[in-house]
Amino acid sequence: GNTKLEIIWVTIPFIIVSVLAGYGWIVLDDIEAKKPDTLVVDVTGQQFAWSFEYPDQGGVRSNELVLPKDRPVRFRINTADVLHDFWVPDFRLKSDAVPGITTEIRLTPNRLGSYPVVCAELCGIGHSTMRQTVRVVQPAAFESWVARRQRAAEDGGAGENGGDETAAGRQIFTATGCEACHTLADADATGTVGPDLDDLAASAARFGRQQDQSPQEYVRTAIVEPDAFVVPGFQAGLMPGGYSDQLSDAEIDTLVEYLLGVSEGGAEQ
Amino acid sequence: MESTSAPAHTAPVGAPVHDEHAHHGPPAAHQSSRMDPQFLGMLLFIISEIMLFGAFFTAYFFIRVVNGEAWPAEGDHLPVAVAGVNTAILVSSSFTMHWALEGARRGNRRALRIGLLTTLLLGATFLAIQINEYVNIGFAVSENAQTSIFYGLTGLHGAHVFVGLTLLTFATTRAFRGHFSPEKHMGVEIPGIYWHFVDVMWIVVYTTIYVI
Amino acid sequence: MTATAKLAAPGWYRAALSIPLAFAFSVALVALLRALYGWDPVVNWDAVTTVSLITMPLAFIVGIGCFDYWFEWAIGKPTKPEDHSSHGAKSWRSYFHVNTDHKVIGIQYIVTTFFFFVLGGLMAMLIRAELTQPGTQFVDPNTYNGLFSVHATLMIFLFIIPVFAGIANYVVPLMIGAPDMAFPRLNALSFWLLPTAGVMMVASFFADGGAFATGWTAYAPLSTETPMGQQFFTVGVQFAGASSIATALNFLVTIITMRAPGMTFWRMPLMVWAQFTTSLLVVIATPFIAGSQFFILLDRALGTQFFTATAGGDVLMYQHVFWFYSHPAVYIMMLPGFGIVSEVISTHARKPVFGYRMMAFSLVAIVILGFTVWAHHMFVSGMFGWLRVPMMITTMLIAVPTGVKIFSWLGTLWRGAIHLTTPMLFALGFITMFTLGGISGIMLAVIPVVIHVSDTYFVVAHIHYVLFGGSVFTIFAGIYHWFPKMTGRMYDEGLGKIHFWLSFVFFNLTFGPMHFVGVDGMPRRVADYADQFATLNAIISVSSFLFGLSFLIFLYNMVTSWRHGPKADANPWRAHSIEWQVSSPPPIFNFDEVPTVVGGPYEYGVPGAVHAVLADGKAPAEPAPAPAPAGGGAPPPSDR
Ligand code: HEA
Ligand code: HEA
Ligand code: HEC
Ligand code: CUA
Ligand SMILES: [Cu+2]
Repeated sequence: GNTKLEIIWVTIPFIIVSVLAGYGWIVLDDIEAKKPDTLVVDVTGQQFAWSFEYPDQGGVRSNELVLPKDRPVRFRINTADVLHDFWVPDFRLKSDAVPGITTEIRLTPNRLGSYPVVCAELCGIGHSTMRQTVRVVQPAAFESWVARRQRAAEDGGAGENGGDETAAGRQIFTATGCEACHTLADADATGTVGPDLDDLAASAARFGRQQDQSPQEYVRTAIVEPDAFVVPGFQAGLMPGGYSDQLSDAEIDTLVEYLLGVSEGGAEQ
Repeated sequence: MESTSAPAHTAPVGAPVHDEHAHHGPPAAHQSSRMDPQFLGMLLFIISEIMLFGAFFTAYFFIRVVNGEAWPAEGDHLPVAVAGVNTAILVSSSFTMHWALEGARRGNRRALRIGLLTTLLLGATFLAIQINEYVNIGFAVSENAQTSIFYGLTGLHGAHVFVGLTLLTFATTRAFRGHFSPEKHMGVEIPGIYWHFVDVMWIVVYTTIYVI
Repeated sequence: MTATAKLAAPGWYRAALSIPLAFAFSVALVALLRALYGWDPVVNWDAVTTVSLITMPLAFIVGIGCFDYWFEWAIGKPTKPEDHSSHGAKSWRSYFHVNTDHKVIGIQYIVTTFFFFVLGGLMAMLIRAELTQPGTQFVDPNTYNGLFSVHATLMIFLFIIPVFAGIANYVVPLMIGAPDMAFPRLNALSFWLLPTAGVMMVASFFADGGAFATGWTAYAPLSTETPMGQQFFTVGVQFAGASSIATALNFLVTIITMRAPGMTFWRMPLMVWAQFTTSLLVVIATPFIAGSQFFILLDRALGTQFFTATAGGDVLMYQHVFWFYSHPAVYIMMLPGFGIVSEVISTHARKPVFGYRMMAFSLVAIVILGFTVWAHHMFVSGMFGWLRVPMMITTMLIAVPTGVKIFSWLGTLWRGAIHLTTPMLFALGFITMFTLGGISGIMLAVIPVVIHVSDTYFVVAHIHYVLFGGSVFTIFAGIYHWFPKMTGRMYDEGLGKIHFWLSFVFFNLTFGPMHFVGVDGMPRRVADYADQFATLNAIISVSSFLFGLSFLIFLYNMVTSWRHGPKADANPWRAHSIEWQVSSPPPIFNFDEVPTVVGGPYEYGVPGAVHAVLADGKAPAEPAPAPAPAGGGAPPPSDR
């Protein structure tokens, strides 16, 4: 041993880490500072998609996150089921979505563009596909987007897609995270956890008949209440419930029509 | 738990001495501490048991203090008095345990046997009352987090009483079959330490769950 | 032996018989209880599986014979005099039976754990194959999630933690001059708990719904909802944990009560110090993971509401309890390695360990600090905001005692007569790689940084730098270093060096780039990823295959050297510590008479220095004028 050396190599790392910790603390306080004129966005994680609600914009809901440039945002993060983690890598910030509590992050986007929104906490089979986008737009564009979303909530998204019901349905299908588990050629979805929806029209007719339901009713129930009827060969409880909270009635209608429209076997109806 | 250093339970026995092995055994280990290996082993085991209770108390702390849930949950009622009597029973069994050990130390077989038997009996009574309490308490384990941790902590403790009783049964059987002497009674002492631990732990559990 | 006698005697036949019996018992128990409650159906296979997961391993252990002695003791049969029939290995078959010899148990541990390392490694190969390109290649997402969960579980609970226990089992009693561990039968039980836990983890792949797929961290509430495979983890960890606690307790008692005369704490080799401090961590921390898994098990099996937020449960409680074990666990996986490296460096550089006392104190400091940092895994979990900064500070403080160790090793090497043998190479590789991993750990502790990189491949890079570049490198160093002692033969030095250099290069090519993909935004635990990460992932995957192949060299070297290697001397490294003063492999009871310790363990190059005197008077004293040993070329140490 050599006491002088030992004192040196205890002291120097100690100083380095103290400086680092102090600096980290300062930056942390800075990140979490409250700012005026903040836009509140409620983020809800669900297996396996994010949905966003703007409480101060009349409760507009969307599966795409749109933010005005240069306006501070406060995300209030929740989950409908298990842990998720709301992360926008380009914003350098993330926070878990925890059952029972609301977590928060604050930031001010200052560059226009589209960036990925990623789920960073293992949440089940579809965790790796729980990816969406955030668009940072000019404040004016944001306002008009809000107005359009308010209309879409009423007409199921058709207006937003220039009246194209199929495009609207495809958008809902992809953005809600159905692709994590289902195959659907029209939406480039290749999931294998749930039944192949390319034959949905045929099976909806068949299973619907068994339950005295029209195909439309059958598919609607399959989405809102997945365990009401479990497709043979699959496990109950896998498909998440709670889509009725996440999508408006009109949106679910669009989705049902879309699914029946693009799948095989419709002729049998 | 056995030890090479102190082949503990070589009670008087008529088995032939294995001469041919006499020179092939290991050298006696050097005793580098005044503490007996088995005593130290039990002590360490108890430390880790305390930590296990610690994990359950952490859950309790989160439910009751961090989340601020009502305790007990609304509409539920904890039989404080019955559990109090039960506490007295368990605590008295520590004294009978001590009595049994003193018996072993002084070579008083009768005290040893009666002491162990009463301890067993008191412990079993405690368990029976506890089970009866479960049956009549009026709420199920799955109702809410409070009932879960109530059953969790008392059940964990109950399991320890059960383990303690099992160890004591071994000691009692051996006592009746003529083992233990004033020189060699680790087989009573070690379960005894465990039993005292189970008692003290109950006082902690009782205080946190029923009293405060 | 007659058939019935074979079935009654402890061993594989009886074990094979008791397992189906345990299964039948589980079915009966479930049916009885459910019938009593009037539940329908009476036989619920999920419940049977859960009960069997507990009874079948126990039945196996009873059948193989771990409890026979205790049963006889419990029912008060006259005590048999110890005949040592279950002591020492007579042929390779002895290794497949319950044996109470710490040397046999040590080998059993090492071979078993390397078996699980290979399994876990092959799973890593599948993970990398899947990640070679974006999209789905070989496995579906559920299997992928199962693969990394089982990979990590095997590596942590079935490889790193127990392999250190195995190496220490072999050398620590020898090092302190004890004939065996304090509780040899408990030692055997600890070992046999391990393969049962491992088999359970691997068997989960065959469960309904696939292997447990919630990571090795098994966060609630996902883990309370996933299919049956999760139960295999929840119960398996209890077995591995019980094994760990029992061994640790055994080490503590052995080290405290069985040291040779003259072996004061300040004369113990650092390997013994490391094992001592690690065991303290195990005894105190491991019950917490048992607790966390009890909660999961109760939520799953009995419907308790520990993690149901709407019923007053608390999801973050799981993480606090889990990390209160699992952070100390990362030091459980590192401190024994620190011990090995101290032995290797001092012996192969022929110099006393620099700052011996500070080395021991820093181990103790890490143990104490290790209990105060658990929440650094929860910086983005939404836990109490006020806890973050204190945790950041304590976490960073660990760099100080760890730094003391790194600098002291460098001080030991400084102007030493460095022999670049394979163990020394791995020790040097460890110092560099672990420092990198430790520094990425410090970066992870800076809250503003970790808010971005938590749950990304940056963390995966950190894990593997500290666990592979850290722990596994020290394991390789230790295995090569003690190989002559354990087997009585020398390994092939040339192959050893090739193994080191290939590992070192491909290790960095595999795990180095993960830092960058992580910072760029690739989350961990994903079967599929955005196209922007494709190039780096392809590079990582290819290097990882070559990295995996480099392990084959090690395997070949070990197997052939064990069988045909040249006979090793008692003390090929001219080391001072006691295990090298007995023959290679050591005699069945280690010593005829317990040795006497008269000096420090590392007095290399100190003329006339002696660590221990054995009964036959053998004691390696340093030759009076220390000659410059060949190979290093450095002048003899002038320190002191
Ligand atoms: C062997 C295992 C091991 C070891 C030793 C360590 C050591 C350290 N770890 Fe690591 N860690 C893991 C295994 C390990 N870790 C694992 C498995 C995970 C992931 C778990 C999961 O989620 O799956 C993890 C995750 C992890 C996280 C959480 C990341 C996240 O998920 O968000 C953090 C954050 O603080 C962290 C920090 C540290 C620090 C500060 C150290 C320190 O102890 C390092 C100290 C060492 C040095 C600093 C180097 C030597 C020192 C010097 C040369 C002195 C000079 C240096 C300075 C002044 C900086 N680790
Ligand atoms: C001691 C611990 C340890 C060790 C040694 C390893 C070793 C390896 N690990 Fe692992 N790993 C962890 C602990 C460890 N890991 C942990 C804790 C996690 C986190 C899990 C979680 O998120 O819950 C993880 C996660 C993890 C991931 C991230 C998964 C994800 O998040 O999606 C990846 C991905 O590349 C990976 C890769 C590897 C590789 C390539 C090796 C290689 O080093 C393996 C090399 C060994 C072999 C290959 C086997 C022996 C070789 C042969 C038998 C020869 C035959 C070879 C071929 C066929 C090529 N590991
Ligand atoms: C976690 C995986 C998962 C996700 C995400 C998921 N599903 Fe499913 N889905 C399943 C499984 C498994 C089944 C079969 C079991 C059942 O019927 O409940 C199923 C069944 C269905 C069916 C009935 C199919 C048939 O052949 O009769 C429809 C329709 C359906 N899902 C639509 C959707 C839509 C629309 C979404 C998104 C809004 C979605 N699913 C999201 C797993 C999933
Ligand atoms: Cu949601 Cu991962
Ligand atoms: Cu940690």
